[in-house]
Order: sequence, then structure tokens, then C-alpha cells
Amino acid sequence: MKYVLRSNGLTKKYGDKMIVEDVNLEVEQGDIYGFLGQNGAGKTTVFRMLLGLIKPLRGTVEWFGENPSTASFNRIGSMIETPGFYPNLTVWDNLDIHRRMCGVTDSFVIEEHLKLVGMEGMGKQKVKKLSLGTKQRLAIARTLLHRPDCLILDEPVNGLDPIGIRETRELLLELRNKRSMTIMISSHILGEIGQMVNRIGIIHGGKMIEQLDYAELQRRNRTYVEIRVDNDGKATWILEQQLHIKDYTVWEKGRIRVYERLEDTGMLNKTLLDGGVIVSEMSLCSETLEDHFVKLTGGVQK
Amino acid sequence: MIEVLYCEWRKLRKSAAFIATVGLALLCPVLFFIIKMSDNNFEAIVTQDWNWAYYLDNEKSLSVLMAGLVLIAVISSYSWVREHGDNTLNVLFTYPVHRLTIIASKLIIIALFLLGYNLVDTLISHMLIMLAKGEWIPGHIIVDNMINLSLSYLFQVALIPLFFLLSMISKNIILPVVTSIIFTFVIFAWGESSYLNNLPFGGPFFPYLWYDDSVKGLSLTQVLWENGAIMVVCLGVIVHQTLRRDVR
Repeated sequence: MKYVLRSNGLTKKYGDKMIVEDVNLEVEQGDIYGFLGQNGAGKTTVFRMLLGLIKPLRGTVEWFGENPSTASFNRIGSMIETPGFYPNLTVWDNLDIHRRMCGVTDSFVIEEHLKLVGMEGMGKQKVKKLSLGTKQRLAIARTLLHRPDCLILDEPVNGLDPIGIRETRELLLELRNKRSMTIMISSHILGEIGQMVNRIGIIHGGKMIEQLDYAELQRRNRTYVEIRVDNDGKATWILEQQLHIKDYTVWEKGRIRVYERLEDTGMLNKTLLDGGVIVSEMSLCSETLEDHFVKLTGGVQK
Repeated sequence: MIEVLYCEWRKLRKSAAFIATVGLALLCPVLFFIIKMSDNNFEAIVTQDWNWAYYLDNEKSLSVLMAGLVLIAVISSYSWVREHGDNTLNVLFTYPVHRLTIIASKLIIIALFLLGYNLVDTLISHMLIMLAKGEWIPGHIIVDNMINLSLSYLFQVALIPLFFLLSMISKNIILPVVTSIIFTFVIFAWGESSYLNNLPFGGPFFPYLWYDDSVKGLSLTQVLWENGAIMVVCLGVIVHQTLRRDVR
């Protein structure tokens, strides 16, 4: 098992506030690792510590089996938060500066990577005139320019339209398959993340609460019957008192998920109707990554 | 290192700071010449009463005083503040280049910009006075002028770390520029006296008064020590800030 990135006990505090505490990460070669967390959970702080932008209070980081060094950054491409560019310079100039700073000698890689992200022919445009979505594409091109072995991407699809999101997903999968690139990505769009990752880590309140293979998560995710009702208080009373169902969740107002007696949905429906509850919808579903994330991090009513 | 220097040059070249530098380098000597022509001192310039050195030293000391300190503050702080404003520090400090190399490159490029400013300013003022007098400047005048310019330039370079550090601490251009304006006013008030010994930021102005017989008690050694000490201390703090600083 070859680890590209490992962290042990990463902790960061500003003043009295603990931002990140004892975060242990393991990213294997060839992984697309989804790093998930709510706003303010500490994802960006962890990324910054991994990249040496922030000094951790304690803890260690290992890149490619060694302590991080200036040289190891040549094997890493990163995009943290809103991508920064020199606005008065052109697209080509910005990428050329990156190319030179990373020690890439051939300038043809610039056009090659602009084409890769669908920005062919835009080299002479000034960056300040680009939209947010185009800047995101440019940032992705920049992270790939020096052919890194590993990418760290913080919200890479932020600002992209649905087609751009899909193209980015396809590009990242292609990079993993064809260039054997390891990718660590964070995103709020859990549906998109779920389509490309093979491993996830969930951070909440600065602490790593779960880290597992996505296949294992899918295996664990439960099937349920989702019922939309007009009165969830009455409906839950009927479930408990008349049907003796204990394993259920009021997902949100008017939506109940029942995890047992899935083979008897007819009886479920009839009992609720007889009890005076209007059932507007009933369907058999499986838990998604989003469901799992919400369950772990809060937001579920019972 | 060469590539890093080239990248820093490219960033600064297309900036407002570069345009300001070029503009001032062209404007100051021309403005001075026009003022001198218009205040009826022109006859004095072309006679023996007002010699070459007097005109050139006056022009240079005024350009250093009126624009030099503020220009040093603007260029020094711009280089750092823009990286913050454009959110490019996240990228800059993740390159396979040591942070200190990046900072050193910025300081070197700022020094080179200042050198360019001083040379262009000097060249234009020399050309204008030669045109006015209708003759070549004597060689020994040029040599003296270059010695003064070199000394003034060294003192200007010694101030770069101070203004760079102020921009690092404040993350804006206002504090360094306001500081330079205050320095300028102080030199206006006390510069032509032995108080200049005790004004470490008066170094760039010093060479043009040192040769002035009417100003007594100036000590080159003292000014060298003070400017040197400020430069070393500021560089030390910059190194510490660079290595320890979190990029948030």
C-alpha cells in the first residue's frame, strides 16, 4: 500500500479557538479522495496545513513517504478557495509565470492545457476580464501544467455551470485513469463527489469523524421507504403505536423515512390512511452520500 | 533564481507602480528644468554663477525629496500588497521555490526598479542642462555626480526593507506611503542641518547636502551606521515573518 499523503494528529488553534484537532488522513496512490464537511468545518485549514501555507500547532504531514520539502511541491498541484491570478496579466502570462516557477522548460504545455480545459485561443485575454467559471477552469489548467502526481482541489467546481461541472468530473476521472494521478477534492455538491470518489473523509467541528472507502459506504447505506404525509406527528404516532415500527426518521417536515418492514408498504399505506393521515407520496429509496453526510454531521430530526 | 527574478519583473512591469516610476523619472527633471527656466534663474544657470554641480545636485536632491521616498514606499509595498489583494500568495508559497528566495527576488527587483528610476532621472537632467548651456558636462562633474548618485542610491536601497516590512504588517499600501510622506515633511523641516545625522530615512538626501558648505556637522559615518542598522533589523524581521507567517 503506497501512501501519497498521510497526516497524523494535525491540530491548529487560533487564540483560544480550536480550528482543527487531531486530523489523521491517509490518501493512497490513485485515490480520488473526497474530503467533506460543512462550511467552517476546517477543510480549507487542513488543506493549507498539508500544503505548508499554515504551520500546525502539532501533528505531522508526510508527502510521498517523506517530510514535506520545497522539492515535493513540484509533485503537487493545488487550488485553494477562490483561485488567485494577476489580473493585469493575460491568461498566457499567468500560466507562463507558473510554468517558470515550477521549472517546466517547454512553453507548449500552456496551449495544451488551455485546450484541455476548453480555453483554447484565450491566451491573450486579460484575466481580470474572465468570469468566475472561466477562472476556475484556468485554475485547473494551472494545477495540471507541471504534471503533478497529486492534486489538492478545494471546491474546484465552484462557479461552474452544469456542463462545466460534468466536464471537470470527466477530466478528473481521466487524469486518475490515464496519468495515475492522486486527487484530493472537497466540494459541497455531494452528488458530484459521489460520482467520482473511491474514498471519503468527513470532517465536522474540526475533527475527522469518518474515513472509509466509498464502496464500503455504499454497502452500508440503507434502503428505506420515504413517505410524504400532511401530519408527521400523527403519522409517527401511528407508526409506533399501531405498526410497532421504531426504526424510522423524520427527515424533514412532512417527510418520514421508514427502515423496517419494507416488504409491507401496502399495510403501511393503509394504516396511515385509516388513521386519517394523507399520504401524498411513497417510494422505495437508498441512502445517498448526502444522506450519510447529513446523518453524521447533524440536520436530521427524530 | 533567474526565473524567479524574471517572473517578479514581469508582474511589476505591467503594474501601476511601474508606470508611476517611469512617469516620475521622466517628469521630475523636466519639471525642475521648466521651473528654473521660468523663474529667471536661467541666466544664472548658463553663467558661471550657477555651476553644473549646483544645478544637478539641486535637481537630484529635490527629486529624491519630492518623489523618491514616496516612490520607494509605493514600489516596495505594492510588490507584497498585490499578492494579498489578488489572492496569489496561496499559489506563490506552494511553488517548489523557498519562500525566502521569493522574498529576496521581490526585494532585488524593487532595487533594480529604483536603479532604473535614478539612472533615467539623472540622464534626462544631464541632457537638459547640457542643452541649456550648449556644451558637454565636464568629466569630473559627471564623476562627482555619479558618486553622489551611488551613495544616495545605496541609502534608498537601505529603506526598501523598512517599507516592505510595513506593507507586510499592515497588508496595505497606505501605511508605508503615509510613513514616507511624514518622512518627507520631517526632512523638509530639519533636513538642511546637522539633524540630518539623526534622521535615518534622510540617507538618500544626505549626499547632496554633505558637499554643501553652508550645512555643518554632517557625519557620513553616523548616517551609514543608522541606515545600515535599520536595513539589517528590517531584513531580519522580514525573514522571520516570511518563515513563520500563516497564509490565510
